[in-house]
Amino acid sequence: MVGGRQLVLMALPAVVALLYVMVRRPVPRGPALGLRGLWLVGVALGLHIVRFEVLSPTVASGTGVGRAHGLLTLACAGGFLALNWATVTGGSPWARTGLVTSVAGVAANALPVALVGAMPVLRPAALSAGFTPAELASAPPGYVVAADAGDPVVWLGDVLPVPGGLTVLSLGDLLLFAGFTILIGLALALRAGARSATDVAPVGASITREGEST
Amino acid sequence: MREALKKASAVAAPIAITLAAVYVFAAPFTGSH
Repeated sequence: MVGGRQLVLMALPAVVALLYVMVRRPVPRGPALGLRGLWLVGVALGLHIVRFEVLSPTVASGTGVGRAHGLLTLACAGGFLALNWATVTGGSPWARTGLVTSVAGVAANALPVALVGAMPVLRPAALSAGFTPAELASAPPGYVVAADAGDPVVWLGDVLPVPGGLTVLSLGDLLLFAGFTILIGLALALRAGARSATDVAPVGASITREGEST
Repeated sequence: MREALKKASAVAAPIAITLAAVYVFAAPFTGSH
């Protein structure tokens, strides 16, 4: 189930992007983002639901299941990047930045899971965020509490506390929040900007194909 | 009506995809899953 704090985090990129599009005048104009392979997000969503909502917590916490989940998520990220390579090499600077930052964030979060089978949570960071030692005694499925940052894989785990916010973020979280905000902001802004029939795409703004949209 | 629905879905689709993507790919520790 999704908790209140998770809902706030989920909505953050969309809210920031919407505010940007509402405030920004004039809105930028250009072709649609034309991202391909969005079905891979659906595949990853299916994997996530199977692991955390279908399987029992004991099975979901298993190292093998966790590693497989991490590897498959990495594969989804790699496939998405490959399918959108044209945007990486020839897209507009913002589209390229958003895409690469998003994929880097996904990979940074999936890598420790693929390596150790769960997302490491740095204990001192969790305590700073307001969790009690009792709450950290048994981590929920998908997480493992690390006593210190001695192992480099922990650096990619949840190490950045939101003081008093009962939330610990990872480097990957920051990257994908930034990347998703750019991509959704770009998608919404370009749609708004494209309302005019006299739109002219800036030279080299983005590569798009007929019939494709975000 | 159809045009209004089309415009609404044009805005709703990227937002829905982003919400799903954050739900799936972000891994903040909030004490639950």
